[in-house]
Parts: sequence; structure tokens; C-alpha cells
Amino acid sequence: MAGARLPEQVLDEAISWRVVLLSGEVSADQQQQWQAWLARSALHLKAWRALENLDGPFSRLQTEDRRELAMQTLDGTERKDKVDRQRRRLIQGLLVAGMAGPALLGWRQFNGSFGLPADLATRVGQRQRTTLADGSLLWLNTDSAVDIDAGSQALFLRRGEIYLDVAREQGVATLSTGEWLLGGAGSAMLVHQRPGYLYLRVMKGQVSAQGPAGSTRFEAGTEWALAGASVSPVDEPFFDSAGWLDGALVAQGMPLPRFVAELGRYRTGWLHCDRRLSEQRVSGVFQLDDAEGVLTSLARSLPVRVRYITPLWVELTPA
Amino acid sequence: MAQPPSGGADLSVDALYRDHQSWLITWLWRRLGSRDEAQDVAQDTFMKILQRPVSLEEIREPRSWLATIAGRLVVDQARRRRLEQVYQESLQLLPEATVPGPEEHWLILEALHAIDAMLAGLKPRVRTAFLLSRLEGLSYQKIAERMDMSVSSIEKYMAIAIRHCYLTQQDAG
Repeated sequence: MAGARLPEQVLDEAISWRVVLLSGEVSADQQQQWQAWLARSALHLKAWRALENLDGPFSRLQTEDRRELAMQTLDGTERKDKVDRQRRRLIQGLLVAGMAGPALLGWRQFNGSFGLPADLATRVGQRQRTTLADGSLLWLNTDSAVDIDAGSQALFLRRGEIYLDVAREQGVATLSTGEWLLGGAGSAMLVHQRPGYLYLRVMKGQVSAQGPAGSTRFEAGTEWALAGASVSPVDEPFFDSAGWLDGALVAQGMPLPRFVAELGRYRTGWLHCDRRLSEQRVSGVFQLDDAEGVLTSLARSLPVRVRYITPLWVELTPA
Repeated sequence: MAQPPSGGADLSVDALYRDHQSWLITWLWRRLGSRDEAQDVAQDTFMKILQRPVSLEEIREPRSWLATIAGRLVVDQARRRRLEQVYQESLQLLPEATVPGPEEHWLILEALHAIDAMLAGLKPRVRTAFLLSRLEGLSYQKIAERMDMSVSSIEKYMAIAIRHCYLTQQDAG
């Protein structure tokens, strides 16, 4: 937008005319007066053009489908803003009232995912390794968060995926997910909060579990999907769910959509796979720290085209 | 693109870059929590300065000036991400036949971002009234009915929104 700011009075007049002309009901009389105003000065014309130019981005959204999509999106960002503001105000209110401690603690126990920072958290693409006070080993995978009760070494999984290797001697660390309580000295487990269920893989020893299905034990080498009281074995021979501990996505004949969903966890943004590609299979060991590089190599080895719609948003389509 | 800075100014941008670039990266790093992102935004900040001829002699506090530009870019980026996220969610609601093709997404997003940036800071009701007019093409009478307000209020809102858009465009320059 080049040009100096318009004189205030000219801007005022131009805006008034703009408001009249956009009303949807303009009389012939008003039309004439507006034309006369335009003709009166070059500055008037310049002001009018400047206001008209503001409509540029709207002109690209004029078909009915696009209008609806645009309205939903712009309306949605507004609602998101509002929710954010309310949340901020709520926290401020609690702090002012001196209630933050107990109130937020209650919340935390309630759903564990309130706006407070977790004790341990990783961002998208990050992994983190920690040794707990009892000697147990804890890994956090990408975009994961855990709260730790320092006294009892009780962990609470807020989101994402962890690997917990409970110390053999004095290991007391347990993992709670809200529904399940998992533990067992000398055991090692991989736990991932997936959409719709909790994924558990026992890497060594025996994991004892208490949950909606009662008390039970899971043996080393088994993989489970826990959803409510339902406990069912997981059979995904095409994918090594522990690969991330070595920084790798390990696939053998993995369906492409599943592979893409998995890879998407390690990069910021959105990664979509066209449904026409659902028959494609992927095999290999891929570096998680270079998700963009993995996409490039996919395009080389499969009939797949990688399209960057924005830097964050990637679509895989048939080549 | 604006014209490249003249010889003297060029030297100053050089100096600015030399003296403050690593400070700016650290400043952004602390805010964004990511070194890569901080480097990207710092780069964009200097690009922005190069594209916009300013008389650098007038800038007394180069660091606070740089921080202002960089801060604006960070906010802009955050808005863009949130917009993309909501756009993704909106797409899920569309019947499949009407989902835009991959090439079109980018054009739509650019237009939406331009509108979103232009309207930033408007009161929600003003924003809604303006969108109903410019996007849906409704008359003030219809908007007034839909929002349960008087036509004269809608006229006032429109004037506020148009002025706001004009001023944000000027500032974004």
C-alpha cells in the first residue's frame, strides 16, 4: 500500500460514501451525489480507490462454496480468540482470588490437561530422556507431556507417548492415564495415548495394570489396545512402535496412510494422504529428525507427489 | 517490491545486520522457544527492512525498532497458523464434492489471511457485520435482522470497520 495517509476529512467523506454504496439500497439520487463528490477532486477519487482496494481479498472468495468456507474459517478464528481470552481471564481470576492452588490442583486431577504447563513436556519433533529419583528411566516422544509426583514417583500421562523402564531394585514408578494405572519393578513399557484407545507395549518383564477391566498382568513381547473395559491385542507387524527410541521410523510394508499419520506426529503442521494412495506400502528405516527429507524420499521411491500448500501443510497425491 | 536502498542506506542496513542480528536471534529465541524459528523470523525481519526504504539515521533505538518489526512478524505468523488450523477444521465440515483442490487451497488461504489480518483488533460484532456485508453480500437491512440490531447501528459498524481496514493496511504498508 503505497502513499501517504489521506487527509482526515477526505477519509471521513469517502468512508461515509462507501457505507452508503454498500448498503444494498442506493437511490438514484444518492448515486448522483456520490458521482458529483467523486468528480469534485482528484483526492476524492484517490480516497475512493483506496477504500475499494480493501475489497481485493474478498473478490477471490465470491463463489457460494468458497463464501461458506471463508465465513466458517473467519468466524472460527474469532471463536478461538474468545475461548483463549476467557481461559486467560479465568486463570487470572483464580490467581487474584488466591484460589489458584487448590482449584487448579483439583482440575489437574480431573482431566490433567488444563492450561498449566506440565512437569515434563516435549514439543513436536522433540524427544527427551530423564532419570527418575528411584532410578527408573523415562523417555518422552514428540509432543508429549507428563506430570510427576516427586514423592511417590507416580507419573500422569497428559498426552502423547512415553517409554518407562522401571528400575529393577527400588523401582516404584507408576504411570497413570486417568483410566489405567500401570507399573511393575523391572518392567519396561511403551505407552501411547492414541485417538480412541491407549496403546501399551510391554518391552520387558511384567506390567501389572489396574483399570476399568479390573486387575491384570501383561507379559513382555505383547501389544495391547486399552479402551474402557475392552482389552484387545494389537497386531501391527508392519511397524516397530519402539523405533523412535533410536530416532527412527521403522516400517516394513506399512500402509502409506498409516505411515504418513505416524510421520505427521513429528512435524508441525498438517500432513494429508490422498485416499487413492491407500494401497501403497512403505518399507525402510527413516530418520525422525528429518521429516521433510522423509517426504522427499517417499516421492522418489513411490508414485507419490508431495505438494506444499503452505510450508506447514503438505498433501500427498498420486504422481 | 520497493526500490533497493540507496548506497548510504545500504551501508546502514549492513551495519544493522552486523551489530544486531545475533542479538535479535537470541531475543526471538527466548520468545519462540525454537532456534530455527528464531533464525527464520530474524531473516524475515531484515528482508522487511530491505523492502521498505526508511531513513535509518532517524532510528535512535535500533534494537527496540527491530524488536517491534520482529514482534509483529511473530504475531502475524501465529495468526496465520491459527487460521490454517481453523481452515482445516472447516474443510472437514464440507461435503466432499465442494472441497477445493490442492492448488486452490493456497489462494483461498492467502485471501483469508489478508482479511483476517485486516480485521485484527475489531470488536466481534463489528467484524461479523462487516463480513456479512462483504463476504455474504447481505444488505444492511438483512444484516440488521440477522444480528437483531437497527440499520443505523449496522451503518456505524460498517464505517468503523472500513476505517479500521484502511488504517491497518496503511500500517502494514
